Amino acid sequence: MQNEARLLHVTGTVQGVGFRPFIYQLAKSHRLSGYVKNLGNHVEILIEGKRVNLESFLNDMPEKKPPLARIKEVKINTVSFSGFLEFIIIQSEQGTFENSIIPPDTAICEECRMEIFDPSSRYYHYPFAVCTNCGPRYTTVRTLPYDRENTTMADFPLCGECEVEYTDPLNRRHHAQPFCCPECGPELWLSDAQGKVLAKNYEAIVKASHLLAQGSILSVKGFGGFHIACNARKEDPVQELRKRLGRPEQPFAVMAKDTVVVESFAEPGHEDLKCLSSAHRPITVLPKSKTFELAESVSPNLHNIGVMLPYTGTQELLFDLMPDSVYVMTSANLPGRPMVVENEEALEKLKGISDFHLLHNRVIANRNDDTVIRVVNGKSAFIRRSRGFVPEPVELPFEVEAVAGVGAEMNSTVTLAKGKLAYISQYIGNTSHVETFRYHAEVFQHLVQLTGIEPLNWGCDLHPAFNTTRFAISRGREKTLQVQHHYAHILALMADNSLPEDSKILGIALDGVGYGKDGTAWGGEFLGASYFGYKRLGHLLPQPMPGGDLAVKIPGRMVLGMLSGKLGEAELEKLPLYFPRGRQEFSAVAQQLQRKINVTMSSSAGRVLDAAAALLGICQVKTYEGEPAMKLESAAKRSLQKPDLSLVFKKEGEAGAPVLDTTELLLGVYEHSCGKYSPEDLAFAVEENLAKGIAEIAISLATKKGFEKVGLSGGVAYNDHITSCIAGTLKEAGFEFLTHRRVPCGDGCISFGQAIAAGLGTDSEGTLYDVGSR
Amino acid sequence: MKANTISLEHGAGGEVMQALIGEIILKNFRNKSAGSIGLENLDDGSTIRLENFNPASELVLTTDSHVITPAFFPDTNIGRLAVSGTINDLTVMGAKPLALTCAVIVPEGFPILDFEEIIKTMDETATEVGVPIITGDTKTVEKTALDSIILNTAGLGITDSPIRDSGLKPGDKLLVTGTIGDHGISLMAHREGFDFDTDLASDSAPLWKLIEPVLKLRTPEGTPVITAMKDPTRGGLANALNEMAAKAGAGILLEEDLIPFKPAVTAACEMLGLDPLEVANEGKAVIGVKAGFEEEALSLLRQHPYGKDAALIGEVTAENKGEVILRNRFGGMRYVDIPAGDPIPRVC
Ligand SMILES: [Fe+3]
Ligand SMILES: [Mg+2]
Ligand SMILES: [Zn+2]
Ligand SMILES: [Zn+2]
Repeated sequence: MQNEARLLHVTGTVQGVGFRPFIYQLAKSHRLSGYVKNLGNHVEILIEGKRVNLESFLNDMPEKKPPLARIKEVKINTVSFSGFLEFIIIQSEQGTFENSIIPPDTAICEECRMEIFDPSSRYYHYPFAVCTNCGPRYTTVRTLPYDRENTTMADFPLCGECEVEYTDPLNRRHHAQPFCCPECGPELWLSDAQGKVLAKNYEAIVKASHLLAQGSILSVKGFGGFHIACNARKEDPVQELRKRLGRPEQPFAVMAKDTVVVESFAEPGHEDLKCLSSAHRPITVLPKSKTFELAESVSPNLHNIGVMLPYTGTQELLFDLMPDSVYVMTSANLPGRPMVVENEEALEKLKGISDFHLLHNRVIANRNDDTVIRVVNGKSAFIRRSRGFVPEPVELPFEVEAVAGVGAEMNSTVTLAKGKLAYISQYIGNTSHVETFRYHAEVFQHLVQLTGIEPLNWGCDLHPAFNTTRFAISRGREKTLQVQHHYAHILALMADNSLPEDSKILGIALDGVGYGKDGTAWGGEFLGASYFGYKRLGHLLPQPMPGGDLAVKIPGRMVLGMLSGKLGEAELEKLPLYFPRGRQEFSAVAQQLQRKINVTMSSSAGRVLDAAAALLGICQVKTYEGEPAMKLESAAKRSLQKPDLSLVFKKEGEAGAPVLDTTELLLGVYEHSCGKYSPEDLAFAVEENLAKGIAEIAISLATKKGFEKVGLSGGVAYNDHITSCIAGTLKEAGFEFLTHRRVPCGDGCISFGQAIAAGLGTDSEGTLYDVGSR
Repeated sequence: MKANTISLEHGAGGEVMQALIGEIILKNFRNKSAGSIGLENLDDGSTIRLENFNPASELVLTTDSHVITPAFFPDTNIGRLAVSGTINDLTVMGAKPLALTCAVIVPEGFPILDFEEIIKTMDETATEVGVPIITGDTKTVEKTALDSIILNTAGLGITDSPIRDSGLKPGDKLLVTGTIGDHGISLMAHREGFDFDTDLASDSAPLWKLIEPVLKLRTPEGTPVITAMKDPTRGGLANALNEMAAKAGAGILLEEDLIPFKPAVTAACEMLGLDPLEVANEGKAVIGVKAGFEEEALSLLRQHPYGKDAALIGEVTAENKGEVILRNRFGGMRYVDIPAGDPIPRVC
């Protein structure tokens, strides 16, 4: 038989994941010659040989590919035979790196893990052992192309022995960019708070393990930043850490050796276990077990706890020494500021917080916080999409020009999109803080560099005072589209679910607040939406927020705002609410409401949950984002009666738009609060009724306006009870119900939605809404 | 968004007013300058250079209209506000006040006794700093056209080294002459019936005597120690500092703990969710001084009763051009924005 040749172009995550050595081996095993070459944005493969062998190669490639590789597309061309004698790997050349995909950071693989515990291996007890299947990636990349000299591993030239492994196409470490050994790679050491070195390498880990057992607080440098660690089984260190960080209540994530240890304090379900053990190693929010045996102060007054399994060599070695231990592993940042990434920065900024530092000398090129996932309504949902997932692109159901979305203010991310790919950045944080906003600009710049996408159009929030809004307008000028916050949520939801360009849905957006088209704060919205516009078809009753953002911090203010038209001053005064300045503040708020001094109106769903939490005495001061609503959810889970109360009232708003009367809802809670129901029962009833009321309005709107799909976005969608109830009711009524799958439902999705709006030239409210609805 | 009619926001001192001034007033007046500082500098006043006059000296002219409801408030009234405002505008230009004018628009039905009390207060305030009121004008309008009194005062001053609000340089120290937010909070408490059980009063005061000694301070090279000065009236310290930073092309870093507030102002702001930096002051100045002279300037200020709470609040930086940053005691930093008309919640 004649020899034939095929030229293949493979796109996807095919660089830095052992794809070329895999192709090399595959070609050899099928007795093919030719070459494989990295072209920056894809891999080119020439295979020559017998047709049957070519065909079996093509069949095997997608099936046997290395674990981290993701093949998006294979273009196959028949070319003329040129007679290669063998199969070779051709080194990267400078080319176009647009759409090149840098792999995300990945947990140490089983083979590497075995080696670091194998006394006969040269990687024995070496925390930086990696191969093409595992280890840090994105966090090491300074610039493209993704070659060792462009990563932070450039500081560690390979030794002779490593050079052999690195260049051997049959080796597991062939061209694994972060590859190194104890001879040539990074070092680990333990220092005291002043930076004095106490121990090096494995000795440092042994010492750190002792210190943790004794109750010390350590900072530990990882892939994308520093953790602060302490023993989670003892109250003292955890409470001491709370004091030092000024975080009285915010739950800490913990790390445990394996799922067996996890099951001693949490009850992961099937889906939870999948998340927990995946190579992404996210923090997975799990229900606590009945016999929760960690310090109560790890996750106070919540029914759940964020848990992750080890993903670095250092962590594996630490847990090997104390297999039963559970450590708090919280990202090392001061309130509102980005996580610490540099050694000197750790010594300085964590002064008075960490007693010791477990450091290494590999620079972190990209800060990357831990990803947080929670299983909601049986499906995993991103609370934060970061390490392990970034910078893998999200595929769009249509093509866009080069565009940017800059996010909202809190939980912000940035997105760059071009063609069918959208690159959502790592978690950035609250950009109202100067340092975080600077970090936002850095992330943006770096993402432009890595993706080669120079945005032509920009999307930002409608809120005029957001730093991100100013950032976009100062760069994009007249090419900037200000996208209404909740419409951005719904656009993100539509694209997340790969809805085609002519789709329309009824979008429900439930969150804290976002700037509305009418200048008030929205946050409980029913939007009839296409990719080209939206209409506000219904909403929750706008409620006064006395003191603006202060009403978020002190949710009792919301209660007064919502009930002041219904109850007299004497009744209001008897409510079990807390105000930092007591009776005087109570009167001030009452007067403030009457005279409308610094009172904004908001249809926010989050604020209603906050108010219920305050009224029921569950949470009176918000010390971290989402606290009142999270504690309300935990209280509702403890409800024994799960009462079937009907507290929902619908009203007609302007132009017949349905309005959910949340005052009646809260009043119902008030009226039942002196009866046979516990606060937990009423917490359950509030969530249930809010969800049912929302679902009912959605059903009537969708029926009337002819929507087949109804979707839910916004931070309130993290509430399992509310989401499950809305989803169940809608599905029962025959609607297709959509939630987020690939991007967060909180404000982490906003930049993605903004980029889509910018990419499609979406109009704001009204005019283009009907496009695609016929 | 361009409006077709004037709204209250157009006079509220924020970005909307800036746009009105920039796009309508400055565009249509063609001759806007009579000396080194003209209308387009949008300073607190402008200078007039006279021929056959000491070339180092310039006259400074400023004008201000005052509408305030109610016209009488704790301890004083609109008369003190009108005179202080104009004297202070001259003062922060570095000019010694020479003379004032007084124009009154008053609706029919306004009590004569009240009118007289306002005039007497104007006299007392001007006498405090020894400035004569030398000309004026009185108009009455129908009840339906106006519900309270409007005062306009113009002031003429003289200086041989005008101080501009754009003169900040990196390294300069920023001082305030006293507690911040007193006027706005006391007036709101009085007007809206808040019971903060305090004796908070407006800080309205003419500042010439307070500032005069500091204006005389010179560096060993003979240049004025004061580099820039402004009275943080409408829009408060936030507005004044943003303007100063923008005009100077420099950054401002404030230390939250150093800014002096009366406990009652802090309490009121904490209970109403207001930012005291955005609250109006009528008897305060913010002063930029060359580094190394802040202590001397402060001790001069503190010798005067209006300056007893004077404080160093921050410094001018080369980085963060045009931005005002507030640092709290834990090192956290946030931007101090130009106040919008109404604050809009941002917590999602
Ligand atoms: Fe949101
Ligand atoms: Mg002025
Ligand atoms: Zn490995
Ligand atoms: Zn080596």
